[in-house]
Amino acid sequence: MLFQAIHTLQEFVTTTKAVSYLIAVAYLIAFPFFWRFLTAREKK
Amino acid sequence: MSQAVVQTESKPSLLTPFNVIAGIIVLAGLFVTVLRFTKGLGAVTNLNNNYPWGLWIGFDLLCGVALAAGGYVTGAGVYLFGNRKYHAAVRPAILTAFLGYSLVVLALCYDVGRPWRLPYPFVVQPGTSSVLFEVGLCVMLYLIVLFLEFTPIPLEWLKLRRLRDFMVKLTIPLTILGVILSTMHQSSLGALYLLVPYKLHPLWYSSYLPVFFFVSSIVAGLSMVIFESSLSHKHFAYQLDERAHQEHEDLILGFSKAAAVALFGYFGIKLVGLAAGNNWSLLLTPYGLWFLVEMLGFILLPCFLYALGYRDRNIPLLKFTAGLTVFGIVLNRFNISLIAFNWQLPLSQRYFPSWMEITISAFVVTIGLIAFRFIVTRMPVLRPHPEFGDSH
Amino acid sequence: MGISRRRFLHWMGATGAGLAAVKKAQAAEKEFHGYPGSFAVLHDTTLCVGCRSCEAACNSVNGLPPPEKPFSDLSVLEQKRRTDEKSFTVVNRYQVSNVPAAGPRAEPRAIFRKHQCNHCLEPACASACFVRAFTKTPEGPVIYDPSVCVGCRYCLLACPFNVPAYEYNKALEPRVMKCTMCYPRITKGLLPACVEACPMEALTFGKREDVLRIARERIRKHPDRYVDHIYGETEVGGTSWLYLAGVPFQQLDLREDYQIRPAPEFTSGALGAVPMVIGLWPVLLIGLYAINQRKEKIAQQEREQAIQAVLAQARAEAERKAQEAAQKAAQEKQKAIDMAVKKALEEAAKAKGKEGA
Repeated sequence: MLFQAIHTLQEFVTTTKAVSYLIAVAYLIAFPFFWRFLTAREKK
Repeated sequence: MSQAVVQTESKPSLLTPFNVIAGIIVLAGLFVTVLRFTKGLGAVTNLNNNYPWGLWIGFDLLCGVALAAGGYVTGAGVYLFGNRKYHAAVRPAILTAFLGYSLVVLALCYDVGRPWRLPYPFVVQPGTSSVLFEVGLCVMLYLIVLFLEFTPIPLEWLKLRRLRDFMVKLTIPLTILGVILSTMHQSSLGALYLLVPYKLHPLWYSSYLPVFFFVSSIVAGLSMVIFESSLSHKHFAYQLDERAHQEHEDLILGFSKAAAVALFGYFGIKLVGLAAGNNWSLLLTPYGLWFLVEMLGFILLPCFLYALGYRDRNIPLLKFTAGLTVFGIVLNRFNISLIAFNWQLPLSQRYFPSWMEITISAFVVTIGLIAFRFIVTRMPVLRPHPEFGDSH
Repeated sequence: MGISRRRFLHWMGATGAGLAAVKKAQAAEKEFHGYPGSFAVLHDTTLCVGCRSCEAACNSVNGLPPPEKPFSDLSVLEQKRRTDEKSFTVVNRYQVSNVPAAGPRAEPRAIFRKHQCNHCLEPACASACFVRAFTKTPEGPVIYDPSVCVGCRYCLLACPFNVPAYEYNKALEPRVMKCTMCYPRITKGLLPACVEACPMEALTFGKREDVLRIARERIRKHPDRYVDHIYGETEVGGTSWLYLAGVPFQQLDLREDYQIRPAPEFTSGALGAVPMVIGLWPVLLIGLYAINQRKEKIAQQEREQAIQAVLAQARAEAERKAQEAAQKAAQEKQKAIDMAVKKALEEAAKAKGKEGA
């Protein structure tokens, strides 16, 4: 993204997988909050 | 649609606004049909050698299949996930799906050069390396499954009890088979475009296209059931009692909750797709901005609106969101098949559908609406048959 | 000419065949090298003058309809054309700057390139076709069988070079139209019509290995004339129509962003997942159904137990009440009897008292 050009497949996979893992972690953290927002007013 | 509700006793006027418009579309459609089969595709469409697939594939096939996903989603939700309280939605969803897929096949008969040869891949020479082969096979098998799932409805109307009971017994295996077949062909429609990395804009091209199409089909199915159910409750209200209206509200709430979660997941995996492509800088191009419009306005926004509407039990907001989501799915399919496709071609060489293509697409949808109305006003779809009761 | 071009190439072919046999033994993993000894055509764009003789020959040999403007009309070159249902091949003119030492008769600052099907080693059209209407023949050409074609046009979509065209104006028997590398002719030992017609020898026909060798040799001999790359050697997995150029290929509408990956590889992953879904989904869905059935059954059982408990309680309550009532009734009865006895005794005593007085 912000660095020099990627020259090998290895570099490419390493970079993109790193970003993907970050997204996945952010997603897993965000999900309970989303769930709470969604079910906050449900009657038990 | 018509405001005049059909009463069983009084003689209704046939010249309702819906009937008039539908009639015009049907006549125009028949006219274009004759042209299509006497003069060829070139006389009727704007298809060319750079754009072999146009509106009929982009809308009638891709959107038609996605929007008919309500059948397998509702069936799975009720029979496999055990949400029996939505069982009233199953029959309308199966009917919509059955009509939807039948119309997809009808539209294909217009689009392919020799429709009478459509069975060839299965009976003459299978091209098993082709994703399109798999799409065709699964759609054909699924249409059979949908037909079998649909049969209890006319069988009850015809009062053929033994046959009807037998068909009802097949519900669970047919539902399971339906989910398997739907998973495969919904995702394979996306896989069709795996073959054209050089023609599809990098922001939309991804090796995850099959997953995107499958997950968005779930979103489309849930939203279409809300959409179609709301329309039915408005236009066929005379068939429904108080309990049905309460169930309808519960359905909208339940399906909205599911849609919110599904859209959240869909957004997440689309982000992963962006990461895998590593083309973040493209987001700042005009196409990139359009991609963001799709992501934020038609995936993230409906997700949030569904969640908000569910939380606050805001039925009108949820109905609006269902419409917004359906539009978003159509937009996504259009983007992949028409707008982001051949994105490198100059504007002068881009494709836009002809009025005749639009006529046939409208014709196909109109036939579906007419058939839907015919069946729903005569057969036990929205309400159970007095002699058979609720089949579950 | 002493030795005919064909005879020379046949000699080259014989040597090539020997070498190819050695290479074959190494193909043990999932790598594919195409049919050995298949034919290819080399198009040297530095020699092409844009005379369109190839277009005329192709049109004639394939029985295609005559064009609007005759092939001798070179004004046609002012517009970029693509292959269509009446033209299996077109020559385009490219105005490029910095033309290096071009061929002897080439127009300065204008380069010509012949477009036609590139007869890929792993054709996208064949991969896409759901009725196997396309075949990569062992001889090299990718041929089309109109007798099974349904007309879905996925092949048009799939071709990275935008080569196939469709007879949109035919209502009942539309066909896909594209160059055949004159398959009927080459199986008879003839040259493709365009190769034979070219007056500048810009087209060379032979075994693919030989043609590649010729191309490499030309580059080696004239490094100032050619870009050091044979287009089609590896692009999209390799093609049977190879190009040499004196300018970057991109300027001749030969895209340079094509990977080595052949077309079938793009979809083989997704297709491979299909049997996985068929295998796993039934297990997962039946399992889900079974879990829900079990949950429902347990819920049902609990409900029944609750009902039983309430019923039992009610029964016990009723029994107790009945017992109480019975007891009370017995008590009342006893009381009544006692009262009656008492009264009777009182009466008797009174009567006795009355008598005694």
